Amino acid sequence: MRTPANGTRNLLQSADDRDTILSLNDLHVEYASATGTIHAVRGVNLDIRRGERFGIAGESGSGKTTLVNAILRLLPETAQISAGSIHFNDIDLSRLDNRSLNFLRWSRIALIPQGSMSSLNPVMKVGHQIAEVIKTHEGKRYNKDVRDRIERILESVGLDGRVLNLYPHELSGGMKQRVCIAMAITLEPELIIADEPTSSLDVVVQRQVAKTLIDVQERLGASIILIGHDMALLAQTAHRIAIMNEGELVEIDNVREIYHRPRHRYTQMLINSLPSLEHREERDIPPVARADGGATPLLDAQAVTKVFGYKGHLFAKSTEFTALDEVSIEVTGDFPMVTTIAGESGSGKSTFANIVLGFAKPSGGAVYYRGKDIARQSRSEFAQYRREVQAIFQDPYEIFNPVYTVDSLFRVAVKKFKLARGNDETMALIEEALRVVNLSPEQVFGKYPDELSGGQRQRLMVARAYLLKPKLIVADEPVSMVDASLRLMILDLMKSLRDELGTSFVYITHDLATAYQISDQIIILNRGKIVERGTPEEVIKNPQHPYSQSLIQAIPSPNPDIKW
Amino acid sequence: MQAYSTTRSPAQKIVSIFKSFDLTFYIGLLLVLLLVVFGALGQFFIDQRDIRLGASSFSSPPSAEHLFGTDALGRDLLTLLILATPTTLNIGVVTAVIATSIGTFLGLVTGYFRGPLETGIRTLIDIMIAIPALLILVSIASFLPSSNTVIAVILAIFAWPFTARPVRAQVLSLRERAFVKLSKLSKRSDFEIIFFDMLPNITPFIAAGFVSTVSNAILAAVGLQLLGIGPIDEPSIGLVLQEAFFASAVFRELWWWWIPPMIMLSMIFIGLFLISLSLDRIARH
Repeated sequence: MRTPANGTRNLLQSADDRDTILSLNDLHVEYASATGTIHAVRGVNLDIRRGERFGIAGESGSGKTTLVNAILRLLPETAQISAGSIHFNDIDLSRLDNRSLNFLRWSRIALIPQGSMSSLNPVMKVGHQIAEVIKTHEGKRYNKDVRDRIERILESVGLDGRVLNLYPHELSGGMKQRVCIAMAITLEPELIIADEPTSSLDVVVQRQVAKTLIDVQERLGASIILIGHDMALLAQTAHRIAIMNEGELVEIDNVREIYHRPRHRYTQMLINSLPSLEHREERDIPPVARADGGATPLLDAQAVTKVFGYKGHLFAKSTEFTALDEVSIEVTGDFPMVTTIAGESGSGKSTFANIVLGFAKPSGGAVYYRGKDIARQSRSEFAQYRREVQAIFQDPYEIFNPVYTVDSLFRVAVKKFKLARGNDETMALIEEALRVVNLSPEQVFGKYPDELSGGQRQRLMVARAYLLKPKLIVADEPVSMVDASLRLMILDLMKSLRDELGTSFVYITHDLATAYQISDQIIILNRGKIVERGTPEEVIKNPQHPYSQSLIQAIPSPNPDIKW
Repeated sequence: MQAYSTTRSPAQKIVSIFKSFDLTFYIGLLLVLLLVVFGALGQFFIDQRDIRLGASSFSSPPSAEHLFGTDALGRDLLTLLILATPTTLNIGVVTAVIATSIGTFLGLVTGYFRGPLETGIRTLIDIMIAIPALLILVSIASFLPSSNTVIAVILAIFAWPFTARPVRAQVLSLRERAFVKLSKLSKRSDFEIIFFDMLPNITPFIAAGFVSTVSNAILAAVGLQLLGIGPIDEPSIGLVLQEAFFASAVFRELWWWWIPPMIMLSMIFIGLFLISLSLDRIARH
């Protein structure tokens, strides 16, 4: 091993046998911004024990990423540690010079950054990227020994050793994430910090990667700090959890205490907002038959197939990809209901949503809305269909045209559907819709989309759906990018729209736990084919198809007593 | 219901637009405005008779009587340049108005719609861009009646694809944004989506393209003049230069004949370039 300079010699000395590996003492971090100082971390006290898996949970903007960046002294220039200390073993990280910090990072404290899959260098083979870490810290060239060592490391995270000869684009998301873990453990660190290590992965792969991470951590006897917004995932992986809210740790306890006996109000809210797979609240109001219902189903998709063709150039043979394969789904017109279409990324669920909304035409089969093929509607039928079939989309930023103020979202709809006469009536309608999502007109009128928070934007999207009071709403991942509190609100709003206004939903999601809670019918798609369909109880409690079984098994339960 | 300002007033909008420009823009604008003022106000101080052949002594250097001197034909160069400036700027603006209108419209339409017509226009754009325009320009301009309007129209025919292609590229990315889907759900027609949703998003982009089209058109027009193609009855900066070079002004050391028009052209090109650079920066943010 390369001998470090005098100043860093003590960094190499093995830690004393005290129980605590990392100790934060009244830590404060402040950001300088155009509008003043932002106090992102406010007096955090924390002790991480040796060999412990410690979870830090919080919603977006709670300061959790700032906290880990402060520990590693990776804060941007606008931010600074304004008070407090960070002790790693006996070393005060907050006072360490850059040279010593560089030495400590990777060798004793490793980071798996957020979205780390995209942090891999696309033009460098995996093996060389890991070798780089070894070279910087131990001065060893990429030779046979190093190569063997990298192979062993890759094998230890469940990859084939030969992966070292591949480029990142040749790997799947899960494999890339494993490579990142491999890089983090290359120098056998004592502390691993993982910031949302699995948030971009599908649920089945998420479980495998999380398990690998735990295996590796236990084998090394290292401590790990897991940062996440998914309480269920943390419940399954961490020993202790700290709940972070607005820069403060409001509660630190072991997982069971947090789940069964949360003390702080914020923690209670987080725990209560978790969708559970254990039991399900039945609909408070029994389904009321629709006055205008009848024998014709509201939505009837018959053997819908969608094939995408791609032609590289004029004389190329087109390559075809079947996104949907004879998908038949019926949404009854007798009473309002929520039909969930669940699947992982690439299952074809969003393609189905696009076809139902008339944005794409099926290559085969047809979708009937109230008995009329939506691809062959007369002018007046189309007008009625547009009025009655609406959508809630996933990305709350993309739904706004950046050149207009956000109220144009409502004004255009009111004007085109002639919902109101004159400005006063329009305003009254919009204000009513805003009230339903707890927004005041002052908060949103005359504002441009980038002046609002993500949560506010998503609420506006829901308010628009409320304003139009449609018969069918296609909700494409409406809660996948929002915080727990807002998720609860949006799901409640969906329920009240269903029960009070008689709106049916096609709920497109990858999240079976929320689907279980609000659906009347669940359909699971895999690679464009329906593999499972039935009531929530049937699908979740007794799945028939092996794919749905593996999918449901992979959902982390927020209850730490139910093992993953 | 007047409690909240729902949209900003036009005056506020204009103020905010001018606030977003940087120093580069204003330097460029100043250079171009100087020439516009020179051409516009100069008209009041000149006498058209000064540009008749032999009106003054031949090839006399700048003096109190002839501030810019006279050319080898005895014409007052200041008067000539004052008359030439609006013509040259006009060619640029007329070309850019035609080319940008056609290019923007076709770019929007081919970016938004799919189908055989779109493929046809797209192919036409690609072909037009690949053709060496100057060569065609020379042959067309040589048998068409010679006037600056004709030159501007011919230049526009070859300039619009350079607007259409980037506009189309912008629209291709805009049409995938979710706000287009929401507009469709609000029953907006394709026409409304193109002109109300997409066009405002690419306005700074089109403005930057317009300015560089003006610049390219003037360059091409001057190029044609230097080759001896183009009207000889309307004075333009290109024509003054062409005559200077034809009379070997450089070798005869008649510097006052060719340096002022060169400086004026430089001012136009640098000014327009700076404006377009600044607009482009805004378009990309």
